[in-house]
Amino acid sequence: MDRRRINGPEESFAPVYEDVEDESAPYATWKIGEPRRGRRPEDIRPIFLKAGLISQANGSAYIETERTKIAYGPRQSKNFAYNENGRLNVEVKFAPFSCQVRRAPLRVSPAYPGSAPSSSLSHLSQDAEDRSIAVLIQQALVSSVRLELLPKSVIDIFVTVIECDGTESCVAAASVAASTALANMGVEMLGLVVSCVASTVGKDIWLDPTEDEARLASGSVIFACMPALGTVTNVWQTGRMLPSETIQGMELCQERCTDIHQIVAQALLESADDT
Amino acid sequence: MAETKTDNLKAQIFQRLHPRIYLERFIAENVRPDEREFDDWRDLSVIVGSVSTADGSALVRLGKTTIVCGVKAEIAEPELDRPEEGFLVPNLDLPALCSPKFKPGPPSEEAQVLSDRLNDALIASDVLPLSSLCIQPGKSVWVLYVDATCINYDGNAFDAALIAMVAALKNATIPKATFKEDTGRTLCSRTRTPLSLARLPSAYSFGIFNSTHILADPTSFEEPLLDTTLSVVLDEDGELVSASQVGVAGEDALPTCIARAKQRHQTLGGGKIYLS
Amino acid sequence: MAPRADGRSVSEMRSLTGIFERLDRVDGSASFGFGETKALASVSGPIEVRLAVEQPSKATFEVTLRPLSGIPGTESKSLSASLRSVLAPSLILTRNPRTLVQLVFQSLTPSHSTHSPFYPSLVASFINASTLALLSVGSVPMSGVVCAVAVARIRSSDLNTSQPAPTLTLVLDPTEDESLASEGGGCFAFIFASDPADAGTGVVAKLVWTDWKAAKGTFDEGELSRATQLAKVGAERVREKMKDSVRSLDGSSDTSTTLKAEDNQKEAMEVEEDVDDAKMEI
Repeated sequence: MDRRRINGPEESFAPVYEDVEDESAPYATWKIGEPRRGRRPEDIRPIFLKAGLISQANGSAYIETERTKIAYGPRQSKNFAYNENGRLNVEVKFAPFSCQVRRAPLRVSPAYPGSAPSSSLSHLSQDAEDRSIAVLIQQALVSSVRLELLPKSVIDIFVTVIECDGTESCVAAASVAASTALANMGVEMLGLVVSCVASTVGKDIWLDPTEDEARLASGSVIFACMPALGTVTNVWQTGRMLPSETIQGMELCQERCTDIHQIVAQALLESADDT
Repeated sequence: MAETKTDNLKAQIFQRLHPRIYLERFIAENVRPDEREFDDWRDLSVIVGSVSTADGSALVRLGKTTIVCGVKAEIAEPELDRPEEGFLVPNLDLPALCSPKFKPGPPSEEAQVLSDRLNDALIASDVLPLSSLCIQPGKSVWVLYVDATCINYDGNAFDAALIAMVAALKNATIPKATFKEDTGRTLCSRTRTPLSLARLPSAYSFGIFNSTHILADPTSFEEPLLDTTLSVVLDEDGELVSASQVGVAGEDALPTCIARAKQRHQTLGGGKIYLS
Repeated sequence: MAPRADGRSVSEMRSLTGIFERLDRVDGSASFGFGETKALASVSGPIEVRLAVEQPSKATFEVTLRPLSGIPGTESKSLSASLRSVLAPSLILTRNPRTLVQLVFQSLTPSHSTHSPFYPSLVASFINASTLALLSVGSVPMSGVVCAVAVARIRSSDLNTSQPAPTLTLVLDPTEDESLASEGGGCFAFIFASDPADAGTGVVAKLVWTDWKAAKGTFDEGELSRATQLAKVGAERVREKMKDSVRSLDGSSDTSTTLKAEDNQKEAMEVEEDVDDAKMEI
């Protein structure tokens, strides 16, 4: 019972279907060793990125990669404790309708068995998942922002996930858009941060996996870097992967990140032209 | 060029320091800060079905105000005193992202008030007969969570959110469900059916500034400066479903707003905003 | 006129009660009732304000609403936000900047319905109780008094009539059962104040709140204006009742109102001054 919201019944469950497997799902009949459906292993989904969409925020960006849609709004807020360096604060919020199973606000226990998005991060409770994702994004970005120039201040980055198809890919997309929003805001940065995900499926490495694909994967690595400086800002590896596969995945990601970097630069140029 | 820039900056500082006087100067010239006339509305666009993880969804833009709404259908036991009625649970979230007015954390007072008004508009006016959500009386019913999230808050969130919620409900489909007496479980098939909506209401809000000027579709800058707010809800035929006034106004204010709401409803093509 | 379940005519109100409750720990309190529908309001102010809500140019006005049972939910929050906007025009808050005026409502009548605990007549009694409580405080200057009454839309067939075709009737001051059986309705609040622009006209009533709605079908402008007129008549009667209550506070005997502290001569003397102020504004 949450007295700050309109409440439904005490308990409700996601629909259970007669046929356990959805025949129309892309990987319903897929077996290990078969090729990836819909795109080549090293392809990522097309990215739509727009900066400066939210008029009320100091800077903002909207990213859409087929079915992952995320909006961002950084803004500066006052801080009470004195600090010589600025701080970067990231908050992630999933819209209740953004996943296959409804994310009820304030739900503490993990989702019902079997219905949770089966990714490597889902063993955490729903609320904690938001926080762990926030930490990943914060880590990816923090070394790119010149916080030493912003004493006594906090930059808040708010992320709202409207639709999520693959938790890991969502983290990567979120990092890209957050960096775009920071640049749109005019914060001094060393370089733009872009991010990509590689997953091992069987013996192959697939980039930017969807939720269905992440379920087939044995392990994945989220890779964030600043292509302009050629430096890596954050790597997060989960699941089972050979060291050689991890290295290979990171190399593939780095290649892709150069392309994504261009998309970000393009989006920022367009938003600069608009004003 | 440089001069207009400094002028703009001066105007911005003036707007922040003396919002009321800033607005008064515009009103005296019969125009609003965003170049609209008093009874002009901002552009409205409705896009449905863009969120595939939801059972129904809509994205509504009213000027810069942007609201996404998604419907999620789940199954629950009905309440004991209403064995044949399902649940419709509308909530509006105003996250910190959409405006510096809001802080991260539990729903703000404004979000609670808006959620309750939206609940009132959807439940009390019987938009979706709750009996149509019954799977097996006393055993199993549908719960429709209608969650709206504001992405960009620039005033008049009530109008935008109600349109988003109704459009998402109209876009929503639910699986065919049967209750199995022997196992006590409800199973669904993959065939989906749309909801049977009884009404398609839309809201039209106004504010009164300095007791005399009726401003249609107020922005987030105008909203806190208004003495009185009025909202008119019309059904798809332009007939009145509810009319509310909060704050002092002359006797003709509400009838004037009703007439203007009907005019706007007609300009939008009647119930056609939901036909996309 | 079609009689109602309790034998009243459509424009007849239940007996009104207005009592100054004299709660010890607040500055002023009063209860108001339409028949069995009763509500209690208490006012404290001007008192110290929390730094977070302090306003440099006027007093902060806070309204809190408590149902008879259960915890307050979104409907309490929403209603208290509305009531705040309804009552604020009657207060001159600019006189006491950087202070707090606190108004607390408590429902005194159990509700049959768990789904909508605040039915229109109860809301109207909240408003009337708070006006009386504000008058009894006297320390918050007022520019007028707000009086409220509810109206419901009822199909005649619900009213045990022999009419063949059920027509929609507007009834004043519906009971909770009437509201539950109604096809909508709403609460109307009017502010009675003298127009500062035109001193010669005396006290005029202006609509300050309505939430008229049709639960079934639709309504037209004519219906809304008839409902407003009906409510205005009712609000006038509420105002008369309030005047009586204030007079009784003053010491002049009025048997229809109970004054709990009447025997306490000293206390009555103390409030006399305040009430005089209040009466001038009524």
